[in-house]
Amino acid sequence: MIGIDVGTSYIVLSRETENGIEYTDFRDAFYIIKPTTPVASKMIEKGLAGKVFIKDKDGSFILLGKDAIEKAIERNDTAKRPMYRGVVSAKEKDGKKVLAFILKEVAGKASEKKEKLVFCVPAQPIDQEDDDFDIGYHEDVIKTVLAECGYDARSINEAEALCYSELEQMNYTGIAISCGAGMTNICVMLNGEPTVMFSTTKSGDWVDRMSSVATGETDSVVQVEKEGGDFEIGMPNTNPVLSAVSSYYERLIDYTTKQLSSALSNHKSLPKFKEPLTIIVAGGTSLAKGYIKIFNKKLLENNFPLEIKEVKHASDPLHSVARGCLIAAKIL
Amino acid sequence: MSSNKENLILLLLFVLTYLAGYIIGRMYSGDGVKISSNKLDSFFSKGNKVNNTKEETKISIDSSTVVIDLKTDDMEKKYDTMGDVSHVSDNISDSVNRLKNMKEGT
Repeated sequence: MIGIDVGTSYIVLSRETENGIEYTDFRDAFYIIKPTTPVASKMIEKGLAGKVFIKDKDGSFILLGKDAIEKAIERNDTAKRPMYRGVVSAKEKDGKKVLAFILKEVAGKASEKKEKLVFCVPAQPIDQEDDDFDIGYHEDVIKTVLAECGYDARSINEAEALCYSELEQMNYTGIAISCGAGMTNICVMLNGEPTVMFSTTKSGDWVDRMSSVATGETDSVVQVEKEGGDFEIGMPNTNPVLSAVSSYYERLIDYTTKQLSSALSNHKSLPKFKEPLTIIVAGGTSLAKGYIKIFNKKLLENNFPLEIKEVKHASDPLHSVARGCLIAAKIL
Repeated sequence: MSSNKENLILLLLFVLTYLAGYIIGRMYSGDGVKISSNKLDSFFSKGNKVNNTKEETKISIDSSTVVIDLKTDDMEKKYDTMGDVSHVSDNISDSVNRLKNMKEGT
């Protein structure tokens, strides 16, 4: 059985082994180099030796993962993503094909006929009305790719998977927030049953893009600086890129907590909880220093409608959604 | 007196013949098939079903985007391994069992 967190920034596969779980992380990025002459093609291929890349039928080279980001920075450019804001788009032909390739490579062939596999999908966003945001299409693409590999693939909501991974001690009652690169997904759970699920479309990529506009650097440069982690949210920083990142992070948390408070206030499906709730936060965007502290503070400032016991990080914020997918696969 | 008696017997016979004819007519149709008590119902309900379908069911076309163009056979792989693999000691069987029990209980 396999669980896969299909994220905008990372694809994380989880597989149970004899004494634990094996995770495979792959950076969800690509960068295309199109040679102009046959000689240039040979030179480029030589220069790419040791990197993860594929050669397409039109002769172009597609770098994948971290190598794609490195090459993009080297060329003062921005690496592409197969997905945007949590889903794959039908309009992005290259992205769709690259995502299919990465998924096939990371998942591999099923070890038995119809091996069970659960992958995560985002919830419908509450802050975007866009024809291009098609969760059904995204789900169909992933199912088709994984079915070609021999899997019986089923989907689960991203934040619901996070609940299954992290809320065991709380009797599967609480709130899980998955802060990915493209989206923030939220699930409110009561005794193992998801009661409210939604998403917002601003997260880590929004911080990168806004910081890129403010500093004139490419998104990829901002992303690498940000992931270097040498900053704290809300604190001044001498590096202009990190200073911008810190400011936009604070605005992002303010926006997310306002959306969260607004969506849950007087929500018809919201249960009446007897005890204060634990809020679990996971995802790469939540790894920035000070994220949990500021998130807690902003929830209180923005009149969060439920009593909070604590806001805390998942035990393994980058792998917890994939872990939840694996748990779901074992229950199905 | 006797003609009155005869008339009465004749009248009773008419009534009995009419009743017998009515009962036989109710029980059997012309093609010899026994009439079930709900035959009319099923016929009309059939008709009603058609009418209801027209009123209640909204016929819509599936306009979701068809998944095509996912072939990756023409992409030539130029590397040995991809992805960072890590291993953690973990046991999810307790979580799985607890969740299974919860789901079965609801």
